[in-house]
Order: sequence, then C-alpha cells, then structure tokens
Amino acid sequence: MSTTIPGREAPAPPSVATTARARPSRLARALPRTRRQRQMFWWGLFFTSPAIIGLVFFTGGPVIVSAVNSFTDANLLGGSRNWVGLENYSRLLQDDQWWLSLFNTFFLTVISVPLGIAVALGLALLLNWRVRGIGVYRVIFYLPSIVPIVASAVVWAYVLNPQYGVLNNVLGLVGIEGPGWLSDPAWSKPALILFGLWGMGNLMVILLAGLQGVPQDLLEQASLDGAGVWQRFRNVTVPFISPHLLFALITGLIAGFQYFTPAFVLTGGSGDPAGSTLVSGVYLYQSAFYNYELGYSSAIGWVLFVLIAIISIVAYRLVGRRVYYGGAS
Amino acid sequence: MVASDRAVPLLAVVRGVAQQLDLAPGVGAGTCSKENTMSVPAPVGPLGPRIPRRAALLTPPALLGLAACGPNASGGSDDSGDGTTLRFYWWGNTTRDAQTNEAADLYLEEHPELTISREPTDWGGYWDKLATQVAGGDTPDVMQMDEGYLAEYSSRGVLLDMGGTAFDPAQFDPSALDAGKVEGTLYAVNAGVNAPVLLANPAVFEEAGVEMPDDTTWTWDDLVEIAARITESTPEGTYGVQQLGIQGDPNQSVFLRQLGGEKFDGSSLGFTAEQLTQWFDLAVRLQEAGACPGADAAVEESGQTVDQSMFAVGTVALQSQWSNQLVSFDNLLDGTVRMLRLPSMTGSAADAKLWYKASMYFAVAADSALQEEAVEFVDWLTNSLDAGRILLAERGVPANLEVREAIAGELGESDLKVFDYIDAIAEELGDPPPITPPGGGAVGDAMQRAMEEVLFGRVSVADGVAAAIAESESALS
Repeated sequence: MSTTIPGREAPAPPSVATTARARPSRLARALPRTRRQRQMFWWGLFFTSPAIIGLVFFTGGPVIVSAVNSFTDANLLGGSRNWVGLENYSRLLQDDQWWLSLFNTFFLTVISVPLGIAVALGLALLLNWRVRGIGVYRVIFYLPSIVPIVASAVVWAYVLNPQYGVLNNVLGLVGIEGPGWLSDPAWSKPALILFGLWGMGNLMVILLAGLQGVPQDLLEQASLDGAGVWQRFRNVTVPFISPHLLFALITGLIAGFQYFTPAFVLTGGSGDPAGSTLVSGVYLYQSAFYNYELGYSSAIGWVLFVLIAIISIVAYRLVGRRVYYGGAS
Repeated sequence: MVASDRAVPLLAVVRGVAQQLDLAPGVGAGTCSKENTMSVPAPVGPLGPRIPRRAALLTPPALLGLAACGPNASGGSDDSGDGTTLRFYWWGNTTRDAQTNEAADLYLEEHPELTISREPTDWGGYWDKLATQVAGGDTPDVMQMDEGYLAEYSSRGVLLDMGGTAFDPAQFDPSALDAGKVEGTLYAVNAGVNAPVLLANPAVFEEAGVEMPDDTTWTWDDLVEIAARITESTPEGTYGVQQLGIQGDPNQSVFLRQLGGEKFDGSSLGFTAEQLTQWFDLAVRLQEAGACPGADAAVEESGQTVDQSMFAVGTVALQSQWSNQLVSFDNLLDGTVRMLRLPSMTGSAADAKLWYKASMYFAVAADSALQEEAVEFVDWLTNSLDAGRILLAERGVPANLEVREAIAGELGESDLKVFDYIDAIAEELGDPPPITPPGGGAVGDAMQRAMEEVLFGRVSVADGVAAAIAESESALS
C-alpha cells in the first residue's frame, strides 16, 4: 500500500491498452507455451477439477436448463414440456403479484443497503478506537455474522414475537406497546430490515480494514490545519475508504435483489402478512415449488438476473468514477 | 477462453469423473423415464462456443439427465436396489407417526421379505419436499395425498391408476371411494372421512355466561352476535371466535356453497364476485363487532402450532376445523370440546351444505419399482381389520364400512365424538364439491392475501374481492 497524498500525483500505472501492441495479448500470455508450462497447466486443471466439475454440473447445467425452461411451460412434476416462446415473459408484465414482489424487493433494497452501510460504518468507526479490550468488542459485533442465517432467523422469529418476544418486552419496559412485527403489514418490512442489520458484521470488518488503511499522518495534518471531526471524516477518511464503500454498495445491491432466506424463514414462504414480504426470490420459489410452474419461475429468475446486472453496472458507472484509489492502488 | 482442441480432454475428464460418481446417467436421453420432448442446445459458455461434435453430443444428455431425473429414474433407487424396500412418505403428528409405525411393523411380520422406509414429516414442509422428490425422479412408493393436490399430481402422471390393480374397493363407502377419482380414474385411496366443523370450548362459554347455541338452527348472524357477546363478557384478550376469513377453508367453501356457489367449477372459479363480497363482508363484520381477534393477532394465529393456538389455551371459544382434528384439541382440553355444525343462511341444518371430504388419501407412485407391493400395502392399510384396529380414526372415520363397524367398539371418547358427528350430519349433506383443479392451490393463497389486505384496512372490500378474483383466475388459466 502506498501512502500517496492527494494532490501529489503518483505516476499513472502502465495501462494495458498502451502496451498491447508491444506485448502479446493477455489471453496469449495466460496460455501455456513451453512443455513444462503445459504440463503444469494440466496438473492445475486436474487439481481444480472438483471445483470445475461442481461449477459445470451444479451451476452451469441448471443455468442452461433454466434458460431453456423459461421459454417453455415446464412443470416441476414432469409431464409434457412445450415451447411457448415469450409467453412467460409477457405474462410477467401483466402479473400484479410479480409487480408487487418487485416493489417489495426495491423497497427493501433501497432502505436496507444505505442503512446497512451507515450502521456498519458507524460500528467500524467505533471499533477503530484504540481502547482497552477493543478485540472483545469487535468479536461481539462480528459474532452474529458467523451464525447460519436460517438459525438466526428462527431465533429472530422468537425475538419479534409480539406476545413473548424479547423486543416487545423491552419496549414494554419503557412504556411503548410494540407492534405485531411479523403479522402487521406496516411493520413486517421494518422487521426484516432490522434483522438484516443484525448480520452486518462482514461489512463492518471490511470497512474496519479500510479505516485502518487511512494514513494517520494525513489525519494529524488535517487536524493541525484546523479541520474538525466532520471535515476530517468527510475529506480524509471517506476518500480513502471509498473503494470499500463502492464494494459494499455493489454487493449490497446484488444481495438485496437476491433477498430470500430471512423472508422465507420468518414467514414460512407465504409472503404474509398481506403480501408485504413477498419479495422476488420468494415469488420465484412459490411459482416453482407451490404452483409447480418451472417455466414461469425460470422467467422470473432470468428477469431478476438481468435487472441485477443492469443496476449493478449503472451503480458502478455512477459511483465508481467518484471513487479515489490513491489509498490502495 | 480455452481453445477448442484443448476442450476435448477437459470434457473427457469431466465426463469420466462424472461417470465414476454415477452422476451422468449414460448416453442418450432415453434412459430417463421422464418425457423429454425437447432437445437442449449444445452448451455455450463455460467451455467455449466451438465444441467438437462428439463432445457436444455427449454432454447435453448428461446435463438434461441431471436436471430431469435423479438416481431413481432409470430403475430403482439406492435403497430399493435390492427390490425390497418400500418407501412410505406421510405428513402427520406424533400420534399418527406412532400408530403408522405400529401398523407397518405388523405388516412386516406377515411380509418378512420387505422393509418399509418410513418417512414422516410435518405438513408445513411436506409438499415442497414431495415436489422436489418427484422432480428428481425419486417419488416415494407410497405417499399420503391431499384433495388440493390430487388433480395436479395425477394430471402430471405421477400417480398410479389404482383401478386395475389388486386394491379391493368392495367394502368402501361408494361416495368415499369416488373422492379419490379424477375424471373417473381412481388415483388415490381414501384414508379417512372428514367434515367441516366448528369446535367449541364450553369453559369459555361458561366464563362468559353465554349459552351454547343450537347448531341445528343457528345462522351466521347468530354466530356474529354470540361471539361478540363472549368477547364482551370475558377479560380482555379472550374472543368469541377465530377470524374465519383468515382461517379460510373450509369456512369459505361452506359459505359460498350456501349461496349457491362452489370454490371451483372445472378449471375455473365456481362463484361470483357478489358471493365472494358477502364472505368478505362477514369477515369484516366479525372484526368490527369485536367477535374475533384483530387482524394482526389473527394472522399470527394462522402460523401457530395446535398446542399454542388460542383455542387450545382457552382464549377463543369457537374455531373451525376438519373433524378429525378434534382429537388433538380434545386431548389438550381434557376431553371437553364440543363439535358444532357450521351455521346456515336459513337457520336450518339441512341447508348447511356440509360434505364428507377425504381427510387424506394413500397413493402409489406410477414409476414405483415395487408397484405390486405398494398396492398390496395400501390395500392392507385401508381394508384389513388389523390395520384398522391400530390406526383407528386418527386419519378420519375409515372409508371401509366393515372396518368402521369393527373398530367402533374400540374407540376412545374423542374418536367416538368424531364418529357421532359424522353420523349426525349424514342426512343433511350437500353434494360433494368439484375437485381442486391444477393451480388451485394458488387460489387459497390469493384469497388469504386479499382478505388480509381488507382486514388491515389497506384496501376496500370491493378492491380486495376484485384483486382476489383476478389473481385466482390468472393462477388457474
């Protein structure tokens, strides 16, 4: 890691484009040339074959099959399978439930991604202090992230229970009558968002690593120049951790659109109450495993994939150019 | 990207290892028993677009094979490899599991050459798991089936036609036998007879000082009024009746039938928007009169286990159920539960339009390697007095009349109540409703979602009804 200071220009790294003519292309360089390299290439393949086989058969195969199925009326239980062209896709556009599931997905993503980043950043800033026992605090806040998500969702189903749940009992102590978190459509989404915040440990650790890369001398310099806490944070810390924030944003968006497990476990896959937790992933599951419409659910999956791809690229283009890589290039 | 000449050995490695692991079911889609009516294009992607023809021919069946059939499809699963293990998959509770295991043990004493792999699970995960097994070509030899799924599974060729088999229906109540037929073909054997019922907890009635209603003459208006009075005269948190709107069926079907509708008519809805509006109105009336818990408590209740339900803990006086469920509630409430007919529009039980439903069925997989053995086992479960004496009425009143008579003397008090109720309503029944068509499962979900929206006050009754009907129709089309 270099400690280049903004304003002092570091020499631009040699870009691939300028040297492409002089040297063989990346692809050609990656391929084995000598006999020994070739031998190593095959041994390498041999040793990675378990992963490759897994990828080809358990990811690649289903990906291809689902792409084909999305143009058919395939049924999970078998029977005949016929081409229906784009019918599944045009049906999506007229399906109110699908639009509802998209709305729910967007709603949850738009709220929980920025909120999650803010909370994780706040925790990371607190845990970046040099106080005694900081290691213990870091472990405490990271612990929820290593609990399997299904297990923690089951626990949260009890936490959120309006009658004997911990949350409403605590609220009751301060005189607030807690809502029926998972049974009231106005509170079910906040409940899911709250549950999401509990598992912010991974992001927190990544941002903590970013914070440790912020050069102390720059912060001290800024402090000597009379910059306040906010100014130091805004003008020194944020630029240096901006690559980490971009990473958090993109992975957060992708995870947000693929949101499934907590909603499925906490509502039994029903989308209740009143369809307020019916996110795209849950609707896909319902189509395939409750209604047996494998073709239709494949179409839902592919549209979701394209949406995620578009939104990730747009977010990357919009935010990516404002990221400062001076800290860690 | 790897050049194509290098892809050949790679594919060979992949295929070789896959065959070692018994992942690729050989060459050619014909080894798979599921119909593969279409070809899959050569895989373009991870291995590069230009794959030699030979490799391209070999790979798709392997992929397709993995997707369309499990290890069982090309003849015999791992555990029936010796041809003697019968897989029996059912949903249930601890009582049913114990009785079913006992019956299976007895059967094996007479058939020492067989083993039975018992695979009980709870209702919640039952259908996801069954669908996944069927999709994987790993259908259990004998499985419990439900009316809501019977048409779906039989139309997809999953279930064996029991008509020409060794199964003997001679002693069956004819209408109970017919309940297992789809368009005239017997796909499933009735495992017990059931009817809609309102369970009443006399202790709550007493606490409220409200008289138990006469269920042969009461109307829906009486129900609302009585339940509201119970809520009023008991401490806060105790209610007259469950929110019947959120409980959904069988109440909704009973109500629609009394208005001249049915839930289904062939493969479309069997009721009008006007009839459904009346049902939604009743649910709103129950809520506004305070007769039932509020919407959020009612939604929560729908995910509750039997022993934690408001009825079992004594905070609601009336709850709708299927009659065979009485036994578990009666156990929890020391045998005090009373069984009431659902109300009618006219105040006459003869117009209540109740019906006998098969609480569940036994069905045999069409692609079972042990078809004869499976059929024989189902025949024994439903026709033999020995099995009847063990299983009693837990799955509902036996459809075999001989068994029904033989076990009548051996029943506990709770089971006797169920027998008496089934007997008492025999003369008042309406015609059996049309079978749930494929896609019909989604209709219940759509109704419930719309009902919740209405009861939470998020949409009007008219909009809720319109949304429920539109969603249901698109699920059925």
